[in-house]
Amino acid sequence: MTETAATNAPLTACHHCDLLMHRPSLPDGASASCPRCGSTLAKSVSATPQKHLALAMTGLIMLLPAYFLPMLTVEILGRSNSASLVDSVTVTWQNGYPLVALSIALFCLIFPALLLQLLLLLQIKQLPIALQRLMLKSLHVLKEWSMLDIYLLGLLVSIVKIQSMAGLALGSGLLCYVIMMIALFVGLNNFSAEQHWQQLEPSA
Amino acid sequence: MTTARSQGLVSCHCCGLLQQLQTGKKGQRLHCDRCNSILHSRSPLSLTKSWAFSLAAIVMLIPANLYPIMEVNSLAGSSADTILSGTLYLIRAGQYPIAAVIFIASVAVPLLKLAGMALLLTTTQRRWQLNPRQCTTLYRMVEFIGRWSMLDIFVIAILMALVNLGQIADIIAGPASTAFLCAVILTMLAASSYDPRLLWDLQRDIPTTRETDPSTFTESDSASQAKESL
Repeated sequence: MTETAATNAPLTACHHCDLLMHRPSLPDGASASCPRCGSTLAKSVSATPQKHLALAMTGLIMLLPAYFLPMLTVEILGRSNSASLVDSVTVTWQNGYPLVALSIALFCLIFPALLLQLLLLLQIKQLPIALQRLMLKSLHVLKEWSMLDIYLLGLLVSIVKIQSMAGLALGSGLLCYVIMMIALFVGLNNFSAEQHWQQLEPSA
Repeated sequence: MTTARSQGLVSCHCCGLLQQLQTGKKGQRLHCDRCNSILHSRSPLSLTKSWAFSLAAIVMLIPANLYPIMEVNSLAGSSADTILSGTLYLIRAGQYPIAAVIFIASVAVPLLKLAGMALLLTTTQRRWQLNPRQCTTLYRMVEFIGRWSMLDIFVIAILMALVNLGQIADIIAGPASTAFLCAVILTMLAASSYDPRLLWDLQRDIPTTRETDPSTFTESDSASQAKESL
């Protein structure tokens, strides 16, 4: 954000301090931060629709195995038990904690699945404008509440916690989960909502 | 430095489009040209909502720390641990890294987050002249770390599904887990309903009269400009 920025560039306001400035034009991969409060203003991404399609498809293919295949298996005194992501929801529900079960289902199953679908569908420009608008708005809300990364840290903590008292084996669900998580993370990081909004502008 | 508000402009909280804030009738809602979200120059009632969520979170933290969060039944006997006693148990067992992670995510982060929110809210209300840039950084940190407190909830759910071997070993959640979950979600809502732009409005010498009325701000930015150049 220097003074040399074109003065006829469109204006923008920092969402954290309301400072009015000219929208910077950024080289690919660069990001601009507010000179007054330091918040990130804009990020330039170079991802093509093909890249987005590939990432979203990868995530969606990995979705069901990541949810239903066992992630971890424990063995204590000859008895073993394995658990998948869905198991952690159902067992929590059955033990009388519906709120906990519901929040895990939303933050780790439903929201990530919706986000992957949104990333895929938003690449289809033929969809009705109203639907695209709704999808962009949903994405804006949902991305704050998707917690795949935290669940993965939870898995790591669980592994370290019980490895002293039980034999542990990693399941194929864990691998699918990590791939899905990376696909969603990279997809969201390279997604520019601003770019999509500009394409939807009325009478543009 | 000019703010969008001083120019009668407003940026949409959802899609970010900057547009003229037409002075509509009182009580009339204005919608974004591009995404049709309701427009407001500052989040309405943000301080009230943020205080309410923060206080509710503090209330929920009490049962969350008093009741056991996890019960372990095994051949060696059964035990119920609260958040703190679970952390102490891990320290005694020598699992320092895990104890640190659990302590940071379940004890330190919720408390620091609420302290941070209280500081930001009081600063805005009492018009304390703190460095607004540092306050905004604090806000961004509070907003970022909030979700990581969910860690303990996930760990319990995973252990509950995994160590489910009947008589031999069985881990089940305790009543504190629901309370802790509520506390975490409430602090996240508290952070997201706070509007950091209010911190920057304090930099002006014109008193904030009404949150929704843009006409109270006119072009007298020289005072704030002088402050910012320091």
